[in-house]
Amino acid sequence: MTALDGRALPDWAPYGAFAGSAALAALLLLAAGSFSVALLLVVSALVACVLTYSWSRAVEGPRRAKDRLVTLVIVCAFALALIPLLSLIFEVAKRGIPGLSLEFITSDARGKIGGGGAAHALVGTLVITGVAALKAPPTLVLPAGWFKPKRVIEVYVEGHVKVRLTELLDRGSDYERVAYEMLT
Amino acid sequence: MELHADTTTNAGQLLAASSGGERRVGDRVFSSLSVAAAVTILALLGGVAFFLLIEALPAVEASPSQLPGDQSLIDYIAPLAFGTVLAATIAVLIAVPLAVAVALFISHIAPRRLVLALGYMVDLLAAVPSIVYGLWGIFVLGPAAVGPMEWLEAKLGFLPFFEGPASVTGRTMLVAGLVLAVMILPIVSAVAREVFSQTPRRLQEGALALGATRWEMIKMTVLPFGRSSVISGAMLGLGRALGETMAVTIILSVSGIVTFNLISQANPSTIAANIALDFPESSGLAINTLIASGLVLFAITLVTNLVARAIISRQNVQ
Repeated sequence: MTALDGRALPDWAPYGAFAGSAALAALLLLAAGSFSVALLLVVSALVACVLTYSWSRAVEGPRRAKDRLVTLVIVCAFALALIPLLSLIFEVAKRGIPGLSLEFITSDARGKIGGGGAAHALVGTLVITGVAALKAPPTLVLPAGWFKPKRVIEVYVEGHVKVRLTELLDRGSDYERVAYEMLT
Repeated sequence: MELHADTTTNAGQLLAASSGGERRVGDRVFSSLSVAAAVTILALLGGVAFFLLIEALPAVEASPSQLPGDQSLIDYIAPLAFGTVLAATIAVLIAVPLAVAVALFISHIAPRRLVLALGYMVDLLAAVPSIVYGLWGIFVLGPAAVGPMEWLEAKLGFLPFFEGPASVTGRTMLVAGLVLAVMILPIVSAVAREVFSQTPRRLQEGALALGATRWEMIKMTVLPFGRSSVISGAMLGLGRALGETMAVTIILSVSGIVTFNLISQANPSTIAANIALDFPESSGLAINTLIASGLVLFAITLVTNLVARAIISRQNVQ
């Protein structure tokens, strides 16, 4: 979004401001002698807020400056919310991967004390979801009389899709359920 | 909305007229099924309340000397109720602003191509079982929080919340509240995101056309439109935080005191965690006492939900 009078920060401004803030924060922390990655991120974010706001305010005026500030705060909040998720995935992988072995996925736990594996659980999960998926091919429900073998129709599902009707599966009094193949 | 309602009524009248004024079989079946479902839920709720009341009664009537810890029922439950509300309040205070920001990021700020993937990632957090959050809290967040909590004690120790002495294990009320916040964040943000992305296009484009910046557009159209849903999402999260059992049971190091000190190793327990910990070892009146505390939790949750409903309906009238 460019102001009508053309006074705007360059496109790279948000990234540049953050990179500059990170460098500044690193210097500050090293000078204070208490450097850590977590602290660096926190201080960078704070410095970036101040820097972005004052830079934008000087060039573009208070309204745009506030817009940039809020955008930055929201992006930081989103990053903050993702930290627990990433940490959780990392921990589960770190603690879980050593337990993975050929035995774990190939043998069951029947009659075993210590050792054995989870093959039974894997098979169960695959069978249940597999059967459900196999039994239910994707189908279209159409008004009665629309089905002709190899007829090509256009369907609107989040955008236009062309499909070729292949087989009539069900016929009700006012609808037909048909199998199809995708064309586009 | 009104137009919609009118057409359906007309359609209904037409249908009724065409079948000679009689309601169709399908209509009757459908309405009796919905009534039955509604009545069943009410009956279940009433049954739960009735069971809790009956089972709690012996503990209410008993003298303090017969109860666990030789104290009156109120002295027993008060710290638990306090801990429950405190933990849930911390969680909501931290999670709701973050959740609104996350929802805004996904609905209005993130690049279009990323939106689906990002939404999916946040929803993933909702699918993680609470026991895993508890383990994460005690193995990862707790130890990581020890340093910051010492810092809080040193710099902000004059506030009652950070009076210290800071726990060295990280099993504190603050950490429990943070884990609860992480747990309820996906729910709150999912509700908020749905509504934010349904803000009428013409309002948003109108605001932008009048020269508003993106933030002004959000402030003028998206936030007012989504306000009541954010409140109901927050209440949904509050309800989950109040009733959360496993995560708190695992994390919190408890002693039955009432304190606002969030970073020490002596914390009030919560009702749900206390029941989970003590139930297996209780018998007789002790069980009735636990059930009485459950009744209090039931009441707290009910009151929160009623208040939330009141707030939402008042918002909608305006």
